Amino acid sequence: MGLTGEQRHKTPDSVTEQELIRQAKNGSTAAFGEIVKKYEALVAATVVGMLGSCQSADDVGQEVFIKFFKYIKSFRADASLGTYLTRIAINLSINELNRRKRRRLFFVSTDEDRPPPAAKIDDSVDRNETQEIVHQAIQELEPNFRAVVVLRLIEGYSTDETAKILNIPLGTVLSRLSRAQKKLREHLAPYMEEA
Amino acid sequence: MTQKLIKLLHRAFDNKLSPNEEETLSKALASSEALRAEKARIEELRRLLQDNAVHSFQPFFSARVMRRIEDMQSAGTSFVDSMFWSFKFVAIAAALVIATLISQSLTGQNQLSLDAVLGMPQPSLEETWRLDFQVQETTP
Repeated sequence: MGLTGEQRHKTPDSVTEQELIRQAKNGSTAAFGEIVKKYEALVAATVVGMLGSCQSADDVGQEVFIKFFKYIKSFRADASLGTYLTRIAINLSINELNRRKRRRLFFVSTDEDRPPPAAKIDDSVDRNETQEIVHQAIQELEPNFRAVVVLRLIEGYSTDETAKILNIPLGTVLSRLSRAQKKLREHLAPYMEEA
Repeated sequence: MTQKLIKLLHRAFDNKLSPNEEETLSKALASSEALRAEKARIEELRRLLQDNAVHSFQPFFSARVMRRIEDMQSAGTSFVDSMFWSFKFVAIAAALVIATLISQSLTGQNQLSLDAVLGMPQPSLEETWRLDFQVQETTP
């Protein structure tokens, strides 16, 4: 069923990537900048999928690369850089979701804490609205289910890779996927019928 | 269309099926229109999710990351780092000094007591009262 996440993120110019990593390890900020540009899309898909499109998603995205920069010397090339960054992105996104949960418990919730208001689905649904509806449906899922959906169904990682990134058994990935898809279909059914 | 076949169909999207399972599923798909419709719905949901994924942050994202890295590399971070390392060494040195003093004190007194550790005798209750009385007398 198409390329796996690992294959998609291991681009043909991986030799150049190794060179970029080597230069960045030696302190080249220009090389690191190239890595940021190359992996922005991948990290954005993970972080925005997990947190929704908001300011904190941008902040977490920046943190992913800052953290990678801090620990770049300990990065070994035995895992692909894409998988490594995705793992950081998932962990930081879950931390952010926990922070939001704590804020909701002790303080008044902010706009970012609340899922966006339900959009009305009608004939004039354009791409942005569709995107908003899909994102809202993903945000309605529990974070654990959301992580599986983002990695497997959006990023295209295989179930094995998803299990490794999330450090959970393969069976758990499959059961979460099944339950998440059921919920997503409930939310998106009206749109899917119209489509 | 049985529940077993629906589960098998869902599993086919995410996991490798055995040759027997593949054969069962393909036969079922050929004969059941409902199962084909279910397959189309699963594909539609996945297409919808993939097509609507966001693959970028706000504009100038990489420039913001690089600015933060440059800021981090400038004086601020090195000051914090040097403070951290300085205090780390001070803390280790202090712990060593305290441990040496305690061991010297214990070996010198040849006994294990709080007096030996602190290096001073603990006053008794009577001595404390006497001291208190003396202080009151000397205070105008």
